[in-house]
Amino acid sequence: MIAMATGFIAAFMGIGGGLIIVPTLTIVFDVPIHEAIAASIVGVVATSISSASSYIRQKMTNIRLALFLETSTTLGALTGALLALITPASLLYFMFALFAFYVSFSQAYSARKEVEKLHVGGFKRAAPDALSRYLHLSGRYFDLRESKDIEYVVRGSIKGWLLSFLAGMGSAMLGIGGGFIKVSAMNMFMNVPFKAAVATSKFMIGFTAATGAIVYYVAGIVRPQLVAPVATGTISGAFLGTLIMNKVRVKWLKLAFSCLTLYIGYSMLKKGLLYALGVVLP
Amino acid sequence: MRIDKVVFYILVIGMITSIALFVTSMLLSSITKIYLSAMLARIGVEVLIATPYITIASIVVMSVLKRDYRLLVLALIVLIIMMLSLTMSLVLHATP
Repeated sequence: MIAMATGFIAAFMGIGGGLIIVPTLTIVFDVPIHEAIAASIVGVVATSISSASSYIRQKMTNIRLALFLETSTTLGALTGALLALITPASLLYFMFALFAFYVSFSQAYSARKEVEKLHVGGFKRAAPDALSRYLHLSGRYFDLRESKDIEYVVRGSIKGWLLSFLAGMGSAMLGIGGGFIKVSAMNMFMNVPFKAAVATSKFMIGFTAATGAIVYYVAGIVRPQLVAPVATGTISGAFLGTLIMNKVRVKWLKLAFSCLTLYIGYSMLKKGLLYALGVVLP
Repeated sequence: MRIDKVVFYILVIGMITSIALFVTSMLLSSITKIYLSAMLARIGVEVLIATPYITIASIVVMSVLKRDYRLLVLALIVLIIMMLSLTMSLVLHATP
């Protein structure tokens, strides 16, 4: 049931879900942390496959944009994996916490603005940057709630690419944090509507998570019989999430995302303070 | 065939196959077919992990067929980094 709820939230918000699965397995089911992370990362692949297939059928996913950003995410993950061997992660926790708080505030603040922007066709009025034009990154999707085709022009490609690099680095070094950065990078800096950003992020997460999952699998840490219930739950939950997401008002999605990033920011700050200064927050 | 349709079919096949294997595995574990149950769960995990690799490889092939060389470059970079990451972990024996 918890895995199902995680899959549902992950599909709704464009995140992987590791943030919920890992503590659940370690605290509630007493699974060793390494096995929990391994099971979680395979569960994240499962949510991504499930929700990405549904979002692609709904024509919400921008495959070109996903691959463009994925070049930096996978590169960031590779760099992060190497950096993790020599650098303490505490500084990165603080950076991520700050960014999460900024995202939380910004998403809550822009919730109403995005609705207006959808109504007046504001997403297609932007000018694309050279890279976006060259790679044909702009796209469109049909918004079920607004009952209209939403066209959008992608801009700020370099900024989005760099943020995705950070997302990949964070996923590799901290095990969490990739999804919310990707959604925010697209929605806040690249002029991608929130729902299209969520769908595109879910598609990308599969590649990043599979890259990590195969490493755990080769190392023999993945326990298939632990993964079976986790993946079954996340797949079904994610599928349900994708059926509803496009029908929900974007304002509520953004407010929920704001609450989620506030929680992510707090948990990152908590870990950063614990590792760097030994301070324990409630 | 459109690239998004090919991607959709690969993802759906991966999802249905793995969930079928996991459900069967869980049912068998409750009637004490432990060995078979573990084997099916392992294949399910392998199918899940392989699906994104097959997806990106199929985008590479489709972009060649469609002569969409800009997409080909993007897909190739992702595939190469994914393979590089795997190779490095195998060579360095580094576990995250």
